[in-house]
Amino acid sequence: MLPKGMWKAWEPRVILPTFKGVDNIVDFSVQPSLNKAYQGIIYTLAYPLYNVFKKRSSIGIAFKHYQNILFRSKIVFRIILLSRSGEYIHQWNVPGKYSPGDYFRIDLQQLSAGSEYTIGDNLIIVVASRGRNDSWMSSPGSLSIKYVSRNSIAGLRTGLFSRPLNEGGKGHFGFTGVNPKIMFKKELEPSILLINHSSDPSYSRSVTPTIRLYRRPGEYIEKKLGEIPPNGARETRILQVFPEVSDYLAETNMTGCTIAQVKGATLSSYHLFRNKNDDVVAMDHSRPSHTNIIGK
Amino acid sequence: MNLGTFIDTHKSHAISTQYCPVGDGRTSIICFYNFYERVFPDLNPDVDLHLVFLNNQGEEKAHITERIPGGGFVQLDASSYLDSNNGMVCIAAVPTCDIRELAPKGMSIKKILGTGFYIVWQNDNGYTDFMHEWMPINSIGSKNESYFVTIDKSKYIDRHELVLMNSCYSDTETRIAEPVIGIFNKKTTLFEFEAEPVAMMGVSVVDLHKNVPQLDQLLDKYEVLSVKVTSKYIFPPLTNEIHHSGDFHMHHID
Repeated sequence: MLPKGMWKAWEPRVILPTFKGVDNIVDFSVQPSLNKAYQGIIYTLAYPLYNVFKKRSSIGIAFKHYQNILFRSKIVFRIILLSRSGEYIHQWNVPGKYSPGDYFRIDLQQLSAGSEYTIGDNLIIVVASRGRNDSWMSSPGSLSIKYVSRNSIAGLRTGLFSRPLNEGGKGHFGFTGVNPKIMFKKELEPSILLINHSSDPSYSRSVTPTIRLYRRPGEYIEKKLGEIPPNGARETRILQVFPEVSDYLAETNMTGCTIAQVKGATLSSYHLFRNKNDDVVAMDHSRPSHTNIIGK
Repeated sequence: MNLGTFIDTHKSHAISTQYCPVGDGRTSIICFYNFYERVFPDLNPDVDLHLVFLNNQGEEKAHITERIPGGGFVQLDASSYLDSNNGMVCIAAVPTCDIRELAPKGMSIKKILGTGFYIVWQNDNGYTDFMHEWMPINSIGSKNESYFVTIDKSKYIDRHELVLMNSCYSDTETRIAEPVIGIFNKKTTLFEFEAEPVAMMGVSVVDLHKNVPQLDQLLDKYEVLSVKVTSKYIFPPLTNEIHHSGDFHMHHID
């Protein structure tokens, strides 16, 4: 569990890994979408109250949102540092307040310099004080994190969100992460990194996902991944969990697909390639596939 | 079948796009999993994966269809279909059965079905990056929009590029994007230029160092700069940071 009140329910946030031995650099540009009403003024004004009516949110959250719209509040950011086992370490305020066109860039090594905390294989949670006017659970732009060393560069951009996640008594129906990019070309080694987190700082559930390595539909090997504690993460090298991969994928030219699954919780899922020097050379978040089909 | 006919034939599908460079030691590998199996495990339909490859001028170069069985996946090397170019790939996965008819009662199926995939970009030196699909083809058009991204001084990053994709298709008008790119420090404009027009369904790779001769000096002075891209018909661009080792990092802005 994290300390109580780590963030407010309306504050969009994202959890990301950091890696040892590289410069972990975070930047954010506030897009014009912060104060726009792309979905129409009526939708923008009605949506917070609609969510109260649907019991997805509270009057307090709706009030905060109208306050942001009325005063065009600037955004304030914080960075929370956790261990990979989900323990709170420290947090920093990002200096400044940000409106459309503003930006910040922070080298996490420099941020932590002079403190007793070092950035290695950790997790960070970046928290924004408000979201967009017309999509108030979302940030106006994507946060970029880059992992830069003498030999390599990798990174990703992803949004901050404040929607409920692994919260409440019911639990989530489950997580499925599909990676059809399993390949062992040019001395690349694929791995996946899963984060078990929640919109509720008091989240206390551990999970143990399974992973299947497919070479064709219906042909797979299944293994259990290790336990992931609450607010923690686990990176799994495909070669480590499937040492038989060279034989198993030989007939498919060393290409395959993995599917990681867990019941009762959803996870953040990242795909990586490492090179023979163990540098992270490519990384991105995975995408839920059901959203291509289910919805409005 | 050309792109216009394909769009008309599959109006209930959003056609996802992505930057697809090949040649000069580069390749792009499209990785797709038939995700319909995740939602319809009993039905487990096959899909026809339609791919249209275009060059940087928006000219259609290849249109292929691969049947992907239920629960199947594929990795397709774009260099089999595109010559050396900085082009675009457009992809739609169309189930071979009527899923709206066959879906369980009460399941809310989207009016416009999406297609998710990944693309792995590689070069001959063994460097790689990857990304998920980017924006779907937009037939409605767009007004002038602005996007911001930061670039920073790093002892390891040699060059900064923007990848501008014009995925606003029309068969009744020619939609050419005319992007304006500005370099800012905390809202002060330091430099502004008009980038080369981007053909409809085309791609333009803008080398910021070539277009802004004093960019290295500006980065030395300010360490972090904001780049603003303003245009009709261009959706949030990709950035490409080229590491001095030859590695690169490409990703969407927003």
